[in-house]
Amino acid sequence: MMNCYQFRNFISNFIDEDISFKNRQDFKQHLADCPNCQKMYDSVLATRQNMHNFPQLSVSENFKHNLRNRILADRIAVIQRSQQKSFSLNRVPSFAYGFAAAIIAVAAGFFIIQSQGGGNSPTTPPQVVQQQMAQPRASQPQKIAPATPVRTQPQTRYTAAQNQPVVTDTIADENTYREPSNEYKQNYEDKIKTVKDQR
Amino acid sequence: MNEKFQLTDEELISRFQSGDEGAFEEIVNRYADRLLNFAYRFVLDREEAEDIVQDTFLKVYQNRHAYKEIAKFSTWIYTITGNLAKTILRKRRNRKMFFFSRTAPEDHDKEMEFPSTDRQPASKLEGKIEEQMIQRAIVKLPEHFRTVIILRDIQDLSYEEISNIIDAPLGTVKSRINRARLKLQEELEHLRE
Repeated sequence: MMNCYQFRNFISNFIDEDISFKNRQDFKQHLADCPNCQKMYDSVLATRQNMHNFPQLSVSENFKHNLRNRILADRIAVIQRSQQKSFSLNRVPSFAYGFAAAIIAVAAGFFIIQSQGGGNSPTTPPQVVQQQMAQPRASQPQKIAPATPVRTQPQTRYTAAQNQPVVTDTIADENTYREPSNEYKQNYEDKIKTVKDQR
Repeated sequence: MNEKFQLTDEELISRFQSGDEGAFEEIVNRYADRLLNFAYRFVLDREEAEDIVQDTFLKVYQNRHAYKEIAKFSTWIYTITGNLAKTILRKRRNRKMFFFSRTAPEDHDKEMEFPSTDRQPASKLEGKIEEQMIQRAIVKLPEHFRTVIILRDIQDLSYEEISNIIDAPLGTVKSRINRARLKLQEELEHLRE
């Protein structure tokens, strides 16, 4: 036997025919015996019927036209967004602007200091160079001797017999000191002479 | 007869995914009115309902590839419309709360205006009054009851479809529909008193 509470729980199952045979029999029995539940059942059924008969609305005449326009506008917006993606100032991070401004400020400051002659004039050589230039005057010309082995470009000479290039690496031996050749001595003496003449 | 009329919804969306714009047009033809009625019962404003339907189709157009044929197309499109309608209601509720805090207390009990649907003949005045009464009662229902009752008793969807749309188990849907119907009766009794 079904009570009123159980009956209420089974109303939708009964209406939608989703109820077991046993419960269906009990439901029908209670429906016949309980006027309150019968009233409730009739009311639910009537409301449901009413909702089924609600007038159906139709979209307005320009619905499709408006929809087409919106789709078109959306397409255009997508295209514009994709074009903006290639380069946009908005996409540059804000700190980059500050960084660029700092670089410009440093460069400008450097340029101003340079143009105001802060220290050396561009026409006069630096102090170190001036000292080096003054040094030969005070001291006697010294014999030039390479203190460390000097690597020069490999010299390539061709032998007549084999007509093959022979590469000789001119690394000075670390332990032996080679006297400069006569040709080199001559050139060096000529240069000193020229400098003395200029003075 | 046009070949597109014989295609299922799932076949149509598949064609649309492949680039057939005509298939989208057929989808619009099939669903525009159904979705309008669904949205209208939610928001009770024809213009807003139509905007919701437009937004729905726009979303379908934009996210056509998001649809996978694991669910029925109708479920998918009803879910979109339902979510949009709920968003509108939420916004409206927030707006209402904002204004209510600035209006006199007697304004709180003002009933919502129900625009005429212009489809009911004048002779059926009684039926129209009953319709408005039921519509008022539906509006008074909590959102989760309102959704299932519109989908089941107005849109005539199956329990399975509703279960997919509201993303709830079948048993929950059945019991919720039953409670929604009973609650609707309570609201109607209050309105008739």
